[in-house]
Amino acid sequence: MAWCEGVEAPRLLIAPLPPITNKGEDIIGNANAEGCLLSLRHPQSGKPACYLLREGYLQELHWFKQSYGSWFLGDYACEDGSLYISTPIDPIFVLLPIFEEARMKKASDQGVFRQLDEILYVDGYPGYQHLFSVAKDTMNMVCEVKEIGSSKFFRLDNSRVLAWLCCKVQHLKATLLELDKNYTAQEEGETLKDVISILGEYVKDEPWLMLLCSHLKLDIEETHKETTKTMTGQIFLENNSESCHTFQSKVENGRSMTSNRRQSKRPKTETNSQNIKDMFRRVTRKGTS
Amino acid sequence: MSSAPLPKWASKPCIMGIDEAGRGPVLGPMVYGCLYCTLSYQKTLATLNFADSKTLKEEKREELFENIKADDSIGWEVDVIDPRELSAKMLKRSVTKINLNEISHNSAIGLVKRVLDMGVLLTEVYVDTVGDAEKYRVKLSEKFPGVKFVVAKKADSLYPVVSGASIVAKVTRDRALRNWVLDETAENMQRNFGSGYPGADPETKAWLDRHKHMVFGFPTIVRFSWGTCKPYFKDFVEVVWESDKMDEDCPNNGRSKHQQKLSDLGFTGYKRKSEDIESSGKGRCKFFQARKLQLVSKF
Repeated sequence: MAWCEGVEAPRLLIAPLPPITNKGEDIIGNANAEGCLLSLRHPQSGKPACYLLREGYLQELHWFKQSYGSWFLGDYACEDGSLYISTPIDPIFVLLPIFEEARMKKASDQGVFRQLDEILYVDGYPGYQHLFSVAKDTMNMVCEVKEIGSSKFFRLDNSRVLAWLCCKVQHLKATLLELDKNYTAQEEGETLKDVISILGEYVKDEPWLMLLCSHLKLDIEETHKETTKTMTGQIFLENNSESCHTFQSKVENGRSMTSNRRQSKRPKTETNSQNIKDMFRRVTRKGTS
Repeated sequence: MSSAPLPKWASKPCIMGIDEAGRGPVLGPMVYGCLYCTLSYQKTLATLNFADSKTLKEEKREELFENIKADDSIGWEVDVIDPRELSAKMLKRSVTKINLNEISHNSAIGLVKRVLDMGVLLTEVYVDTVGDAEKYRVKLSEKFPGVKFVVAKKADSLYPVVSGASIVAKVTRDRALRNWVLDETAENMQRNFGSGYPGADPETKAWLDRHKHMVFGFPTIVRFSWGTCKPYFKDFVEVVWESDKMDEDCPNNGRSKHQQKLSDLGFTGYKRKSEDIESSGKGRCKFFQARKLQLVSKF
């Protein structure tokens, strides 16, 4: 086809523009935003998946196709009737497995603090290198962060992840109720199950979905045969609503590690005396899983 | 078109004639042309033997057009209306549809306005009838209060300014058709259009037969809104438009014809056989399965 010279087969992708606020009033789309396609590991399956990064906003790609259809694009016809859509995704979903591997947590400890450039080095997936500033801006929500001089060290923290997941549950529940009359008609318990099943597409069963379910006192009736492991060092939050609240304040107080209210709730067994050097091991790349 | 600096004579009372070319044929643009000069120059115009452009041979018309261009006491303008514009305006939905007479009127009005805006002191304008003559005259007079309009049948044989305008329009149209760049990049596109009247001209009829397309109809040089095209439509593929399904006063509503494959209509050579494929959302949670959304591993 003459109109798409140089392109093998044109396809249609609809991608929302990253928002820019117009002097703090209306949020309008940034039409000049450039983007790049990244191949990253899908957070749930670990298989390669396609993402779009535009102006610091991460989007995931979906594919939809009806049979026997094509697109009219301007004056021309595009044979492939596929519809590709990209939708915004919280980068924490995508980075969670990476940070989880990076902390190298054993049952008996909290894992190690690592620097971002090390964390984001994933064998076979150079796309993560593009997420450096995204990670820097967002991961402190679910990590303990220590600054030594000008270097920042991150360690994923289960209690924060759980709090974050609980927020997601609340948001999803509220959104589903607005989305579809069917959800308002059904019982709250059923809606909650739907929410968990959607979340289950974005986080691994172990440890996250299991952690969430046990916190919400739900049965994870999914595929896994093995019983849920009881994890030492878990922090049990009092209830859902509070978790979001304390979670909020944590963002502000992110820096103050020592005066963490949460730490006082930790069972004494899990913190053996630790040499600070052990926490900040510089692990060789071969050592990362 | 016309040269930039306004001639001195333009500030004297002037007359203008307007005529069109290419109103009838099914191919190519419709052109409105105008020709203007001072009232006093009218007598000279009459000697230039414009006569009725339709009776003149093509070479004679070309020669007269060159003479017009060379004559410093004559001004002229054209409005070339693309066949796509004609098709689009005439095929709009009933409420917003614009018919050919209205398109013609607007073109003539545009020419008068253009010449007035240039600073020419137009006092009299002569046009050929389009639709009801008196209504047309009133419409024009209301638009341009300072100008006297004469709307007459066969104005091109009555008034030299109109015959002159007729030549300007005809030559412009003939050149436009000769030099027409086909939008379509398909192979085997030929240019032997004929006169553009499929009823009378076998060459035009043959061209239409050879250039028709089951899905896209005709190349854009053809006026889709023309009655002479209609007989071909019955052979074409029926297309169902989602917006028509929603439009209650569309007569095609509820007519569910069996969907056809392009390969059934003679389309060949496509390497990709992706038409059967559809997304299912299999293996995903209920939310995505219901919406048949799948992940993209590689874009």
